[in-house]
Amino acid sequence: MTNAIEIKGLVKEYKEFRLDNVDLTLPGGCILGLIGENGAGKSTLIKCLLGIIHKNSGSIKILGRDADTELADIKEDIGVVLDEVGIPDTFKVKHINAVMKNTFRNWDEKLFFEYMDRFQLSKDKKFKEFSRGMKMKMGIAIALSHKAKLLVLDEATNGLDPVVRDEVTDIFYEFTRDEEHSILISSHIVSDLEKLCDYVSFIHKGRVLLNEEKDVLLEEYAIAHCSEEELKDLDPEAIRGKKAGKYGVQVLVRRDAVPAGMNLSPVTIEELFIFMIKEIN
Amino acid sequence: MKGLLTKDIIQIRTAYLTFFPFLIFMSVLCAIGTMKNGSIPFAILPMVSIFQAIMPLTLIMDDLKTGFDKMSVTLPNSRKDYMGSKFMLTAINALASGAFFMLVTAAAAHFSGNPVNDPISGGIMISALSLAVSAFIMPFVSKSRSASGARIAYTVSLVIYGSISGGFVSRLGMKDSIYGVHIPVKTSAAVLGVMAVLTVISYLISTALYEKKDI
Repeated sequence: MTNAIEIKGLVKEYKEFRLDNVDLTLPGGCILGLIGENGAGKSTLIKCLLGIIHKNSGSIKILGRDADTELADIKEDIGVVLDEVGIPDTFKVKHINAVMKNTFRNWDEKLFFEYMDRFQLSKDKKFKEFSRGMKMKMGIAIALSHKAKLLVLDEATNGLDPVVRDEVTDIFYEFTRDEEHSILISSHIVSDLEKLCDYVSFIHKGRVLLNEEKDVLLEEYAIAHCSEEELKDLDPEAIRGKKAGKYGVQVLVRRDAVPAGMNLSPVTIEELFIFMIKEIN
Repeated sequence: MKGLLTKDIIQIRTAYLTFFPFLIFMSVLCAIGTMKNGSIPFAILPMVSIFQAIMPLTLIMDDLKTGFDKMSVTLPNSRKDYMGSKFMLTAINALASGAFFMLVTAAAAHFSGNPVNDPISGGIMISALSLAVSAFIMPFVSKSRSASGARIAYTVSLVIYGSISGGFVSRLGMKDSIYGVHIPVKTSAAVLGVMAVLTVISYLISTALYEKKDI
């Protein structure tokens, strides 16, 4: 199966920030969570992917096609939700439908209005009267209503209440039931991504630290609870991060590199990320 | 491009009270003059043109404010399509404004038994000058990254354009500039032709700038 996204050697430079030789692959039919703290470069990476900003160097392929030469065509098959949905303030649902019907070849008007009902978005309100959560729901509905093969979501679940976030997560699951459908989703709310993703990628200060299958990571790493003395006995190669607690030290370790019988507990993706970043900082 | 034009047309329809009253008012005012003696006060036409040229520029500034410019890049449009839709709208707006003015004033002149040359020439000049304003301002606006940046570019351009127009009025004197100027239809048509060429050049420059821009 073709990779949904292939990024190689991506560089984007600003005065005080640099996206530094980023390699990223989203296998077809999978969900990749792009995790990073605020200002890490998630949105910059996504904007380079979509051609919103120009990269300095590197290559990008989307759905097996070269993004440098075929981007406008490729976007027929991409549904995008950015952190802000840019619809004119005076537009109502019928206006948005009219624009999208004339934009996408595969626009599904019936499905769009079904999402309006499902998300309980009023057909009579102007876009400026929607709350932030409603605006995001509108963006998600647009992204899902034109038979896209790839969803690119940049902080798309921010501003949604927990009930709606859960509902939207279910919709994304449904989307990937089709093996040809993939999702790239970025967020700093790691718990959302943890439930959803097959692959995770950690980005920190413009560099990708890690790009791995979620289940492999969760199997490979664990949290060891030990004292300072026990910590000294651990192989330094096994330690990926540590945090002092009230009753000892919590250490992020590779399971296969610690002595048997050590007190280990499962790690979450969020903990994995926090430990790694703290270790780097 | 069809989706982009649909979006702009819907926006114009929902905000028509902003865009069209001044043209209607000026057309009716000038029609009173053409009913008397068939004359058009050519010196006020630049003012009408500036107001009519506002419309496509306002749409770009609104896109910058709402983030539609960013959203449009995520849709299956190229940046060339985006600029193309704005220039197409500019051309339609300029020609439609001129045609409306021409119809109203020429009808008033005709039914009063006055010559229609000035109304026809006036309508053509409104189209030409409207194109000129847009052609001049669009490259600056297309380079702007924010609505306020576009507004500054637009204001500075208007000041320059207004100063040039004001210079003509001050040279001719107020009475002569209002009723003393008569522009033959052939001259107006030639000016329109030149402005059409300038608009094409402006489109090429604006598109090149927009394609290079990080949105």
